Amino acid sequence: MSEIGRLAIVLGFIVAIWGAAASLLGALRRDKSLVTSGTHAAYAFSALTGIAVLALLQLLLARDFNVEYVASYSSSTLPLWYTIAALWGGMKGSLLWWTFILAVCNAVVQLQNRRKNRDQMPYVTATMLVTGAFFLSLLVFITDPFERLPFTPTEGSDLNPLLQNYWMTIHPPSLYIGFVSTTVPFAFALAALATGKLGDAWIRTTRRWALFSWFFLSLGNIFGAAWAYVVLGWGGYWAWDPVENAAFMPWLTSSAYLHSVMIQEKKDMLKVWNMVLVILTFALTIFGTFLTRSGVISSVHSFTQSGLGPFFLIFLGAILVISLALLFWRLPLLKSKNELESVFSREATFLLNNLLFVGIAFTVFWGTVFPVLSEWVRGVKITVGPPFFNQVNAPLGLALMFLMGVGPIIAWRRASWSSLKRAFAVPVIIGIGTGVIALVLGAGNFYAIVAFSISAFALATVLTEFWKGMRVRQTMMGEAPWVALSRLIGKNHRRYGGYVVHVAMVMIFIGIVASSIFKIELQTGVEVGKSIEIGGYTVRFDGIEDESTPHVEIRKAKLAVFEDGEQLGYVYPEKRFYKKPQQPTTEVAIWSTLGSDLYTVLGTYDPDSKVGVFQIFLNPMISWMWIGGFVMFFGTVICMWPSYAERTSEATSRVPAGSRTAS
Amino acid sequence: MGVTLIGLIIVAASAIYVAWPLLSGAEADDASEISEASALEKEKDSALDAIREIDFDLRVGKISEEDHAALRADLEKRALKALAELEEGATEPGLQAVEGGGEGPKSDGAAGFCPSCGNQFKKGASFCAGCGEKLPKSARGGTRRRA
Repeated sequence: MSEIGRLAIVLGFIVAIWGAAASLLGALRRDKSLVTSGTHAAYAFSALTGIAVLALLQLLLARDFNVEYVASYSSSTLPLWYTIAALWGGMKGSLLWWTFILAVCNAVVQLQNRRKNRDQMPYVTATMLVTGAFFLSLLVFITDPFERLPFTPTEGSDLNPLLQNYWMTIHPPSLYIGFVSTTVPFAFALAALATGKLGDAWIRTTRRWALFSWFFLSLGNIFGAAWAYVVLGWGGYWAWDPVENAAFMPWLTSSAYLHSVMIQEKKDMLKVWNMVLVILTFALTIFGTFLTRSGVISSVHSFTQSGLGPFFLIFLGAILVISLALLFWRLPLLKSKNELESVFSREATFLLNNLLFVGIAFTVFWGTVFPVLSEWVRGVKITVGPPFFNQVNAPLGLALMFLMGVGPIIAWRRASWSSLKRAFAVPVIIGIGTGVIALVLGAGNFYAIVAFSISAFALATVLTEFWKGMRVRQTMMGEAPWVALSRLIGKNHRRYGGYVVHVAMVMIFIGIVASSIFKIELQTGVEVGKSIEIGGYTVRFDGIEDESTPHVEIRKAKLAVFEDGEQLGYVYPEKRFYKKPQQPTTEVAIWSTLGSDLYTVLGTYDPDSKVGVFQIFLNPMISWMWIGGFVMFFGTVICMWPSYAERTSEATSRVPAGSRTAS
Repeated sequence: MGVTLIGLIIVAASAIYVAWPLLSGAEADDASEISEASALEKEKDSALDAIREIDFDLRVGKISEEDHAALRADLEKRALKALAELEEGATEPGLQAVEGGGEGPKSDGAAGFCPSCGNQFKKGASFCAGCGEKLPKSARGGTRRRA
């Protein structure tokens, strides 16, 4: 099986190189058979990487420890799910998995555009295949996932216990899908630059892809945060770790793009900027991969380190040089006909929102690479910790939230004083009112009060948008409220889906603010039968239970949770000792409510004195983040739902365009 | 043996599939024409979507009459330009005029686009022929409301 896998990646590499060359040559020479051969190569590339993934999966499932990858990342006692997840648990496998996702995206793009964008498609195919060839080249020439050992170990060294968690099965795939699918808008941007067709067409074609990749980047980040929260056992979910930052930066530029693209559609402005954002987002995903794989920066993700760094840097350099050269060449065609008419306009708000997104991305970038730069320049590695990121990004985040409230309701072109008053009176009153209430209730922290106030303002603007839109439909069409609301959303998925995402962002923001400012933390030893008090909760230590399986030994503490003298239930924080890589892990136990999370960690337990040492955190409103994640999912689905016009135009797209009238 | 056979099949299948278009001298539709048309379709759809949005913004009161008219004129110009190019070859004096001089269509053709479904409607129409929705007065004024 390893031979088949090896053959598939070698062949996949050759096919990708051929496909890219044939597509480019075919486009330049206007030779259809070459272009078609390129398209076939794209499909063959997908099939071959698919075969390689299946081969590796088969080796894992067969527990063939003669294969180095299988021996390193699985064992005979590893449960089935994690054996499957071991596909992306190690560096080689994750690169193959990455290539496979790219190949699937490529095949979908080819299918979607069989009869569309035919001029651009050769360039799109070439870009995607070159990217695919780059990833496969690493596997073919440098780290072969199908490498065999000179001997067969009787047992594998198992998957890192930190990765043996249910999030492992969904966090990496979502993040990879997010990362990899940014290739699609990038490929279309390059194709637009190459063909000189720089209108709205490429943007419209890739709109859903951009949203798709943004969505999976968001999910990947949220899942990653949730994973860190339940696995790492320090009571938090985000540490500004370089690899977290690596996933956060493309999300920021991608969010910026989703907003600025609306300005191009409405006002024919910011064309160059949009190109730059698409290029930057893709480049940042490659940079992120570089950060994870190179080991230049120490990180909690060090389980995927390797010596591949320089190759990623070269590829990154090539991407930037080629795309920026193309952009520079096409600058005259990208000139905007319109200009900003007033700072009090939606255009200006969106522009500012973009500057903030990119500003945050830049500070994150700076903080991430600073240790490396300082080492190069001064020979000393200076690490900037979370305080740097928090201090710089907190005001930027607040400003962004504020704009999120302003953007949707301010007028295009220029807003007059009277229109501002009319649109903003209610949200501003609600915002200030919330701030006052927070102050009265004893939120003594300045940041918290401002943040709650701004969140309420942003939420109010979104709700008034729904309300006003619904009222207009009710009076104009005489519809019942629910009908009016659903038709309102149905008529403009993108706008109202976007608003739902805004609501989700407010929820996540509130979760972040409350949990980071009002967190309570204590570490204490307690005897069996005794209790600990924390922020209104009482936690009683009821004893220790030990369990043992061939795979792992578990020590479980039983904690009874009380609030106001009433027992709510039990939580069971654990210490686990994995047997293969002899490593202890912490399994936290959380009593979660809308108001707060009681987060318990078992430190040590001394059987003689019957004293357990616990770390207990009270994280207010953290579950709002996860609920916000669900709301975001919902909003994005509304955004991506095809409109009536799109569905009908898809259906009629097989009719030659010339024979149609305007639909 | 089995592995060698599967390997050979994979190699042969890939090679034949990829090389087939070159060997058979692939037929294909006129790529550039289709591409051009789909690009223009998108260009048009994009402008129509934008028109629909600002029309609604006007009704909600988020935008002044004057700004609405100016924005709409701009977007209509873009939509009509894409339409004119899309239907190139057909006789469209009115649409050409839009592109050239910025005056409204002079023929008895389109007066504007339905704010609800984006269908083109004729001057003087009160209801959209596409979706049957009542056309608001501001939309009926169509391209003549140019700033």
